[in-house]
Amino acid sequence: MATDIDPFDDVFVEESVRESPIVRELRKNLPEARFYCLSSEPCYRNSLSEDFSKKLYVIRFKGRFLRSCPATRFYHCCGYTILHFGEHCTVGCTYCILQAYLNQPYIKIFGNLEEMLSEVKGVLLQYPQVLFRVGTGEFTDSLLLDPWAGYSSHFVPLFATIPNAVLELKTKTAFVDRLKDLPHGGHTIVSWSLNAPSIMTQEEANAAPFELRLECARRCLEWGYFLSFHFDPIFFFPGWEKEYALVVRELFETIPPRKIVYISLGAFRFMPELKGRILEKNPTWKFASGEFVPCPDGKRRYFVDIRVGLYKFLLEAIRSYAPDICVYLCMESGSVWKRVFGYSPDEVGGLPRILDDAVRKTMKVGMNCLNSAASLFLRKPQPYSSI
Amino acid sequence: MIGWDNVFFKYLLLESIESDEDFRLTSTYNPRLYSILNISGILSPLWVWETSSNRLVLIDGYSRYGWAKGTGCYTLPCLVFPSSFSKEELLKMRILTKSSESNLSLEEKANIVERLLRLYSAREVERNFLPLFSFPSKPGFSKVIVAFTKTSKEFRCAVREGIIDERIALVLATWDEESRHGMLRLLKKLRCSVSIQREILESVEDLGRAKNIPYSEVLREIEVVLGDQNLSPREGTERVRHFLKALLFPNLMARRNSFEKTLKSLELPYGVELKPPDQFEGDEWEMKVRFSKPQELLDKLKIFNSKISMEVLDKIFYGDRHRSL
Repeated sequence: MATDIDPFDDVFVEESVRESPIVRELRKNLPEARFYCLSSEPCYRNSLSEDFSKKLYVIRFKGRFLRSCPATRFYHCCGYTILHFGEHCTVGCTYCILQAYLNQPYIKIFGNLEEMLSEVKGVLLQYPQVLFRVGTGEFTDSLLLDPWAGYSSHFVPLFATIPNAVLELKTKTAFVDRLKDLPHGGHTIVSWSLNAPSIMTQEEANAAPFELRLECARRCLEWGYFLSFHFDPIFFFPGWEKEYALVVRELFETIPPRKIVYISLGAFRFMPELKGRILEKNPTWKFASGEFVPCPDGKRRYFVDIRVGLYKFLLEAIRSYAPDICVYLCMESGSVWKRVFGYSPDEVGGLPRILDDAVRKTMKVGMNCLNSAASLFLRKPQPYSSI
Repeated sequence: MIGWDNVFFKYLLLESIESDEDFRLTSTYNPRLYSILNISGILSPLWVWETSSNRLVLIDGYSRYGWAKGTGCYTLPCLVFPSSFSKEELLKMRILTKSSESNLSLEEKANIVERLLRLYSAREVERNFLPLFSFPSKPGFSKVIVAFTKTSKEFRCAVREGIIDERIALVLATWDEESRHGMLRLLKKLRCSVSIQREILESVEDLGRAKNIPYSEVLREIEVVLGDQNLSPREGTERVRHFLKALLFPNLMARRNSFEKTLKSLELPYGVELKPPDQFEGDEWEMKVRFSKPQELLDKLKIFNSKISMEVLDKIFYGDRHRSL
């Protein structure tokens, strides 16, 4: 079944993190795997044909664990703070941007957990007046390794103790079992990426099927977690309206809107080199061959009228079930916002503010916070609406 | 170590020397070499292998051999490798010697790679040899190069003559025969620059993938558009580009047309221009006013103001809101 993401045959552990709680957990949960000790992280490149899918690297990360979302000045960014705990993913989505973004062919996680948690606690508590929305799903799937490595057992309780922060775990998997008994204190959002059924079936090889994602969301809801959903990347193909409408309907037939903090919409976009990478693997892949235009941030996006059409349709579908729910666009220009919502984020205090308000309204977290984490971390200026 | 001690020099009768396709790495006529040979004759000996069955097989010197045949030479200066040398050993020597030459054509490089694959594994060739020829050392790329050696003579000739760019040719080598031939016909007609060749190639591929049809079908549509009219290469190229854009970007073209139509209907004063962001992407629009006197500027702005309303601007900025995708 698609959700059975195989565990690893070989685990390579950097000497300095061999006693890490993450490594202990991996040894316990991967009894069949061979463990090797490395003096430092090896240097492999994507051009090598070696199969790394069953290899896991646990290394010491020497940089900063908390960082801002890689925004650009041309499009509105959500001001999310990334908790960087690992890189790469084996869910195997054909369209995955990590194929072009990362130059190492294997999945690696960071074993220096204590340093990671201490940095998170230190930074977040240092700014009690700032509301932090922190996510772990930027460079990997947040829960992909959870059954074996158990990061959630460390992250979720930590965030429960930080009054000015919420944690978002973004996934396409069904690996939620560990979350059941964790003391989350209402500070964790579990979120799923959703797509048209044909895309979820054909383009997300090892992800959980749609029904299972909804079932997991329902279970998390029972355990008191807040939820969010991401329609990203949205594809434009014959029959898209019918397929996305079906997903929206099933979503709201399963999940009550009041526990959904926000829903994001983002049309498929890609760096030019991604297209080449995908076509090398699958020369007939058609989803990068539509009406894509070069954009100021160097990516290719659907021509703006198509994006507006996609967003308006989905927004209308969502609002027909949940009129008050917070819906936002990921990396879009002010004019697209204006055409879809009737206003541009800069006219209402910026996109980070919109999402902070959604957190405050739904989760009642950060009620006394005056600023958004974007004011600390988001270094790039944000665009203004053209009118 | 190569057993050079056993190699000897000898004049051999031209008619006694046989060619062997395995050793022939070039089929290109080299006019410069022929001119030099006409001036000075053969300056360096040909390499010939004397096999165990006493055949004399030409290893290196196919162009000189061809020139000699054409000029009626009877004997040729040769370095003779005795039968103690194996064919594989000599092939390796031939290939590696040829590899060290500068200015190899794509055809020559491809022939060398094809022969190297008989001697080394694909991985070794891709890792150690492809970078020497400025090919990417990607897994599987040697297959693309070999595919090029299997293309038609006409196609390789067009590459040699520069009608098709070498990088484009390698992409086309992976296409099916019919589609490749269609593109060859088109590029022969258009004689366009490398960047336009690339644009046309990518557009044809995108359309083929998007519509799930063979590239040859897209190319047939292009041929219909070009028709039998006597268009110059430049006119033909422009017509093809426009046709492909209209097929690939129907919404963008519709928006552009609507923008231009709206702008035209406004009859803005001469020298007043409104420019959307490239591809209508992003938030930065431009307005340009050309004037030579302060009064002219005031007049133009006044006329502009009288013609512009929020409703009109809305249409300019966002196109027809009710147009469905």
